[in-house]
Amino acid sequence: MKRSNECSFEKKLNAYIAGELSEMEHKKVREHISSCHLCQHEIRNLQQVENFLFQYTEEEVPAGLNEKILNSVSKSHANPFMKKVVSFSIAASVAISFMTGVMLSKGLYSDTQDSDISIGEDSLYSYFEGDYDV
Amino acid sequence: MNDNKFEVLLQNESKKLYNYLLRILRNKEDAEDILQETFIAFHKKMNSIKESSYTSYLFRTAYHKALSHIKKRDKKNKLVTNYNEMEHFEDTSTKNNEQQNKLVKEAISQLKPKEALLIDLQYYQKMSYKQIAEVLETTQSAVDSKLVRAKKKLIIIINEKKKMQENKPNIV
Repeated sequence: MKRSNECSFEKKLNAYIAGELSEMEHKKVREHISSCHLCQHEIRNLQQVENFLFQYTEEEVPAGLNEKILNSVSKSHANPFMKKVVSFSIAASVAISFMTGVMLSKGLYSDTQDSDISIGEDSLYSYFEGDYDV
Repeated sequence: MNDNKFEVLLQNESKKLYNYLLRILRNKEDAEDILQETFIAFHKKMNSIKESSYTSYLFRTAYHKALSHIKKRDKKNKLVTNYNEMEHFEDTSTKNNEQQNKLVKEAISQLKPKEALLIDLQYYQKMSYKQIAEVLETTQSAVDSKLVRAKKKLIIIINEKKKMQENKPNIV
């Protein structure tokens, strides 16, 4: 049983205000409101909510926050790629230093080692030939 | 390509989301943190989200992140203070507009987070029932009945606030 302070149209009022009813329903509710004190009171309440909420003034996003977000996103986005780039760079630099080292040492050693060996060989021959005193 | 889209979306939606978060969290630092987390989470999933659902996804993510933040904060606050006393260590810069904003924030924060989101989406984001239903992953009729309930609560809260203001002694 419906109480005297209830109206079957009450539930439709929110959708009515929001413009969510069909044209026919909207017309029906509008006609009803003009003769229903309960619904008129409810509509006033809903308008009160609207007025109250609309006194809020939107605040600006703090300066630099969007940039901060973009930076964090690009960092997190770049991370997997950057990891690959960093590991590739390390591997490449190790390889290059190794190669350079090898090439340099070959070039340097080729002079010194050959002469060392030749000195060694000469000394050995001299030793066997009795040039060295034991 | 996606990065350009993301940048445009950030410029267009960050203010709306920031204000939504401010209204329910009532704390600038918290709103900034959750906004940042929301966009980072969105960026990670951006490729798998339909472009038409970008805004819904952002609000849904912000809602869930804010909700878990509120839960954590409430738990922490219960240990040190009463919930009603919380506003004392929120922003106390109350100058005209800010005072009105503070009133609205206080009223909205007394609703359940989901109700606050519904109110926000309808009034501030001007979304239709269909769009709200998409954000909350529910039906349009559920949106309507939940909105009716949330507004009834809000009417009670507003009337209480009015009474409190009327009873406040005028300090000259």
